[in-house]
Amino acid sequence: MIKVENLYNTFGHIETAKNIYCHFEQKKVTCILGGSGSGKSTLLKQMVGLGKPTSGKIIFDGQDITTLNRKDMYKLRKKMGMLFQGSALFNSLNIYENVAFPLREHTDLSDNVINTIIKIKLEMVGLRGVEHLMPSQLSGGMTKRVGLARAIVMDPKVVFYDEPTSGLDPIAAGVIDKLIKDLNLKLGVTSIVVSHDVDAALKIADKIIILFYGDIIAEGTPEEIRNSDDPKVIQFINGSPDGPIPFKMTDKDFIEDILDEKI
Amino acid sequence: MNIEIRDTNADVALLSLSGELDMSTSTRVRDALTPIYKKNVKGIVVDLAGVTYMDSSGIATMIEGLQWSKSGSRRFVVAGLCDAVMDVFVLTNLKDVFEFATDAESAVNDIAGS
Repeated sequence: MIKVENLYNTFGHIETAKNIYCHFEQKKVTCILGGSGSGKSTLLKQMVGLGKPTSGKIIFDGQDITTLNRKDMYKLRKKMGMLFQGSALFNSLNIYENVAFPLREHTDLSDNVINTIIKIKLEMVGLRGVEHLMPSQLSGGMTKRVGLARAIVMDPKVVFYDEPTSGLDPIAAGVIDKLIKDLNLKLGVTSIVVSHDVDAALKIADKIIILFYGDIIAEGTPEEIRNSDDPKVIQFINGSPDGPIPFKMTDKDFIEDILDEKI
Repeated sequence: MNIEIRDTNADVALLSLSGELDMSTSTRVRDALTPIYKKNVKGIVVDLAGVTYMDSSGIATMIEGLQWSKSGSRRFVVAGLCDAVMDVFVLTNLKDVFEFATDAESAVNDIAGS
C-alpha cells in the first residue's frame, strides 16, 4: 500500500530520516514507535504529503507522492484520514462543523445525510451531544476524539494516527485503541499509528517499526519485538532510563556547552 | 453503482442496488428514494444483494428511509446483505434498529400481505 524508499530528511543538523526503507501493508495496523524527536511525526506528515522529504520516495498506491502536484494530492487525500498530534481543529468552527468539514469540502451529500454521518462518528468516539460546543470549550482528550471523528468521517481507506491516545484517560484510550482495531478488522482500514504507548502498540499492531534518531532500529510483529534481544529495543520497551538510547538531542558535552560563552 | 426501481405492486416499492454504495454514489440512491417517500406506499424494500461495499454515507441514506418509515406506520426493509455490508451496520451500532430480510422478494410479499 505505502512504500517508503531511501527516505532522507533533515532539519538543519538534525536528521529525522537517514535513508530509511519501510513498507506499510494494506489492511494492516502498523505502529511506529520511538522517543520524542526520533522522526516519527515527520515521517507520518510526509506520508500524507504535508511537507516534502529532503530526498527519497514515498509510494502510495503506485504513485510517488513526493512528486505529486497540488491537484493530484487533493484527490489522493480523499482516501486518507489524518489525526494530528494536536488535533488541529478549526478554532472558529463548532464541533459539528469541524467534523462536517471534509464532507462539505469533498462530497455533495445532503444536509440530512451529513447530519446522520456526524452523529454516527461522534457516537463512535463517545462524544455525541457536544456538537454545538467550540473547540476551546473541550478538554484535550475530547479535542483529540473530535479530531479522530473528523479523520474517519470520509471512511478513508488509510488512516494516519499521530499519538491517538496521548493525553487521554485510560478508559478513553482503551476505547480509541479498540476503535482503531475495529476499523481495521471490520472495514479493512489500513492504519498507521505513531505512538509512545508501547503496551497499546503491542496489543493492536500487526507490525511495529521502532525509529531511533532517523534510523529504523527494529521492525517486526509484536511477538518479535517483545522477544528482541537488541539492547536498544529492550530499553525502549521497558522504558529504562539507562541504556544505549541517550536522553538528549546533541552529542555536544553539557559542561562544554554551558561554558561556551566568552565573557 | 446500478439502481433499479421496481414497483412490484401499488403498495410496495422495491429498489435493487448493485455495486459500491459510497460517498460518490449514495446521493444517487437518495435521489431515487426521495420520490418514493412521497408516494403512498406501505413499505419500501432495498435489495442490497448486489452491493459489495457500503460506507457511512450509505448507512446514513438507509437511515433516512428509516426516518420515513417511523414518521408514518410504514415499513422500510433492507434485504440480502453480504457479511461485509452487515459489518458496517454492526460497527456503527445500527444493526438493531433496521428490519433485515434475507431476500427481497419475500420481504415484498410480506409487506404486501400485511
